[in-house]
Amino acid sequence: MRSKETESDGALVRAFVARDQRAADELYGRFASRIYGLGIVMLGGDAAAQDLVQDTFVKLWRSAGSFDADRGKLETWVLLVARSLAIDSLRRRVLESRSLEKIGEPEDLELSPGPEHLATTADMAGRARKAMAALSPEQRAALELAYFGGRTSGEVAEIEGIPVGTAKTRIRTALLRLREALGQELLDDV
Amino acid sequence: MTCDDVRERLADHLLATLDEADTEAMAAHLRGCAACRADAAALADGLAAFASASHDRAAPEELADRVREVLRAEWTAVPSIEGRSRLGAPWLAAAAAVIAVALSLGWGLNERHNAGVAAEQGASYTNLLHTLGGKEFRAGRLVPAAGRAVEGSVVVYDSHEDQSWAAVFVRAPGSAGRTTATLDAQDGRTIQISRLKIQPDGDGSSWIVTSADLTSFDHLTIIDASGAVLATAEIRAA
Repeated sequence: MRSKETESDGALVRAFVARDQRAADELYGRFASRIYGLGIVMLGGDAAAQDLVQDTFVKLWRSAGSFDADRGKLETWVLLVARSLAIDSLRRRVLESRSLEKIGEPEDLELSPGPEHLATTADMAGRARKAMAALSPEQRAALELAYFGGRTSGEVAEIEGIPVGTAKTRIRTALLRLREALGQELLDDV
Repeated sequence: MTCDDVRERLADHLLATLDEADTEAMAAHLRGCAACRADAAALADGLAAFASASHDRAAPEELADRVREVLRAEWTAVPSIEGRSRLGAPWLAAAAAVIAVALSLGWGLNERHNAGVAAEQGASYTNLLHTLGGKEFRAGRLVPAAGRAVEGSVVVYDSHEDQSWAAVFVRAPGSAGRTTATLDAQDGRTIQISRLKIQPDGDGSSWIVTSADLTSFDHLTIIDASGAVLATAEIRAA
């Protein structure tokens, strides 16, 4: 059975595809802060973060025909599109950095940290910090590697030096604990 | 793929780190398994919580205007997201769609009827235009020259992207052979539609894709092998 949220999100995306400015504004209102924040965390600067927001909304419109509200949450789709663009941007930086190394240029781009480093230094604030506190350091590290770094469970396992099954369990458990913790916090706010 | 397999891969699936084959298999399983969908929804909630927790920052106020302007420019420059995403170039989508319309009408099985019907598909073409983008769909019914038995229609798709398209469907019993179908503009320009051969059974069709702007071409003339006018058509918005 389709939920009201699913129907509403589907209608919102259809309106966005049809170039409805109000739909675009609603999407921006719902997601811009998280996309911008993702850019700050992953790309490390205001200008890059603003570019990420712009590029994400263009890509969302171009690929909106592929969104199926029955198959996934709008929020997940939007954030994964943004994350994918951020990872692409990081990869380009790495390639540019390697190219400059080859011709002997100073490694200025070291100022742009990789996703793993950025993930570990990500700022966790407000009520989010409380929810994140529900995670063990190992769970959080695994989730950050997978989310910010775009790493598979196998790659997380390799980086962390743990079995693949353990990496999968850490990521899965982290997600479920966050859901529970945030739900509990919302209840506490009532 | 079993439910256990799916559960093991769900987090990777939500984080979009699976390969294409696994992603498809996961999606197929989730479509038919409410329990796994519920599990996926729980993890997605966790993922959303993580996103809120780790990177929710107020964006600069001026960024909203910048994004709005960029989207407007995108919407102006790109005629149709649906046409592009599903079939690539708009003209190709248009061609495929109009052929589909022709086939759905049973083209070739009952062409005598369909040659007349095609020009009356205005609503269908309008809907198609809405889907594909582009400037306009136009159509015209063939008017036979005196003493000639001809039925048929011409359909023109005016693209935004220099990939316009025109098709002619003809039934002309007794006029078998090569003919010349030409689009005419009021300023005297002409574009010939590639070979239009009337088969022995009287059926014929041809089409052209062109980078030329067809919007001012509003007339079609078909001339038979002897140089006599077989039929003409006025092309109007469908």
